[in-house]
Amino acid sequence: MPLLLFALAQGQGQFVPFTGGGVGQETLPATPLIYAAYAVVWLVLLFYVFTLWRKIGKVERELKDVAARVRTGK
Amino acid sequence: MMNRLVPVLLIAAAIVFGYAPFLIRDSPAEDTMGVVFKIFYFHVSSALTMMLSAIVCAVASAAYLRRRSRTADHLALAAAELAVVFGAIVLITGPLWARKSWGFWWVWDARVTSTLVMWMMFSSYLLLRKYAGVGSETLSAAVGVFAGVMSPLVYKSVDIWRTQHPTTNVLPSLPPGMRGVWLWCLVGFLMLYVALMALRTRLAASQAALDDLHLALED
Amino acid sequence: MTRTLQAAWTIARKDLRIEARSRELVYTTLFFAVACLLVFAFAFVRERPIDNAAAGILWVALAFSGTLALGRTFERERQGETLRALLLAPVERGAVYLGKLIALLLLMAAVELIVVPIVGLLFSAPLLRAPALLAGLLALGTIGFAAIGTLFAAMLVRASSRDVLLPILLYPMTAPLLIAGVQGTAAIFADEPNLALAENWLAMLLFFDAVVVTVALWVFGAVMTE
Repeated sequence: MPLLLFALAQGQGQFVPFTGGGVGQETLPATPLIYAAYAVVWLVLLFYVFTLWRKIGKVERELKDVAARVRTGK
Repeated sequence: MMNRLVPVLLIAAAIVFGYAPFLIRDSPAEDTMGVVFKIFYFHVSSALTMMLSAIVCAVASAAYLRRRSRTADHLALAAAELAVVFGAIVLITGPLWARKSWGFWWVWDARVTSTLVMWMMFSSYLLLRKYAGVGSETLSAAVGVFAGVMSPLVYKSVDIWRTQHPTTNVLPSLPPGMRGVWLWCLVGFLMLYVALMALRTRLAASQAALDDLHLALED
Repeated sequence: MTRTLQAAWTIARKDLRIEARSRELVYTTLFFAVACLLVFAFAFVRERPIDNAAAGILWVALAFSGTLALGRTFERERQGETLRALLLAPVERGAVYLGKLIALLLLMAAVELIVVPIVGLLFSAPLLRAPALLAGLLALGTIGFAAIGTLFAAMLVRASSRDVLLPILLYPMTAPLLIAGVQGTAAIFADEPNLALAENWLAMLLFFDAVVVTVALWVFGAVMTE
C-alpha cells in the first residue's frame, strides 16, 4: 500500500484533485455507478453489433434477389 | 479476407471484454478517487477509440473529396457512425464517474466539452447524410474534413477558457498495477473497433451496390 | 491572384447592388438580432445583467442572425439559379467563394454597427474601454464564422432540409470562434478588465481564421464541381 501511494505521488505531477462543490461525494455508494457504467457500455455495443448484423443480412439478401432478377430479366 | 477476419476479431474482443471485469475487480483502487475510478478502464478506452474514429473519418473524407472514391466514402460514413457510438459511451460513462468523484454530473473543462462538441459534429454528419438527399456524400465529406480540423481548435480554446477557472482535474499518470489492465481493455476496444469498421463499411458498400442495381432496373 | 480577387469583388458587388435596392436582408437581419437581444435580456437580467451576460448575449445574437442571413443570401441564389451560373462562368471557384464571403461580411458589419451600441446601451457594457480591441474581436470572429458558414450554406443550396441543417452543422463547427469571441469580449467588459487576455483571444482568432479560410477555400473548390 505505501508503495502504491509512492508510485501515485511520483506519477501525479499535474494531478489537481477537484475537491469542492458537489453534493453527495462521500455519501454516494460507488458500486452501483460502476455497474451502471459497465452495463451501459455492454448494452450499447451489443445493441449496435446486433442491429448492424441484422441490417447486413437484410441488405445482402435483397442484393442477391435483385441481382438474380437482373440476370433472369436479361 | 476481411470477411473471415471479422468473426475472429469479434470473438477475440468478446473474450477480452469478458475477462476484463475480473481484471478490473482485482485491480488496485485509486488513492484519491477510490473504487469509482475503475470506470476509467472502459471510459478512457472508449474515448481513445472515438478519437481514432474521428481521425479516420476526417482522412477518409479528405480522400473522398480528392478522388471521389466510393470506398473512401464508405469508410468515412462508418467512421463517423462509430465515432458517435463510442462517443455516446464516453458521454454516458463520464457523468456516472464524475457524479461520484467530483460531485457533479457535468463540468465544463476542455476534455469533456470538446468531446461533446466532437460528438455533435459527427452526429450532424450523420444527420446530413440521412436528410440532405442527393449529393450528401460530398457534403458530408466537407463536414468530415472540417470536424477533423476544428476538433483540436475546440480543445485548445476550451482549455484556455477554463484554465482561468482551475477547478477540474487532470488524469493522473497510471501507476504500473493499473497499466496492464488498461492496456488489456484498450486492446479489446481496438479489436472491436476494427471489426465494427469492417462490418459497417461492408454494409455501406452493399447498400450502395443495391441502390445501383435498383437504379439499373428502373432504366 | 489579383484576377481572383477582382472577380471576387465583382461578385460581391453584384450582391451588394441587389441588397442596396431592397435593403431587405439588412433590415430583417438587424431586427432579428435586436429581437434576440430582447429575449436574452428576459433570461439574463436581474436587477443588473448577470456577469459577462453582455458579451455572451452579443455573440449569440450575432451567431443566430448571421445564420439566418447566410440562409437567406443563398436562398436568393437558389431561386435565381445564379450559383450554378457563377460556377459555370470562367471564374475561379475561389473567387465565387470569396465574393459571397465578402458580401456577407459587409452585411454583418452593417448589422454589428447597430447591434453593438444597442448592447452597450441595454446592458451597460463599456464599449469605449478598448474600442480597437473590441472591433478586432468582432471583425475576426465574424470572418471565421462567415467563412465556415458561406461554405456550408453554399453546399446546402440544393439539399433537402437545408434550413435546419445549416445551424446543425454550423454551431458545433464554429465553437472555437464563438468561445474566443465571447471570452475576449467578456475580458474587456468585466468589472476588472483583463485587456492582455483579450489580446490573447484576438491572436487566437487570427490563427483560427487563417486555418478556417484556407481549409474552406480548398473544400469549396473540391465540393462545387457540378
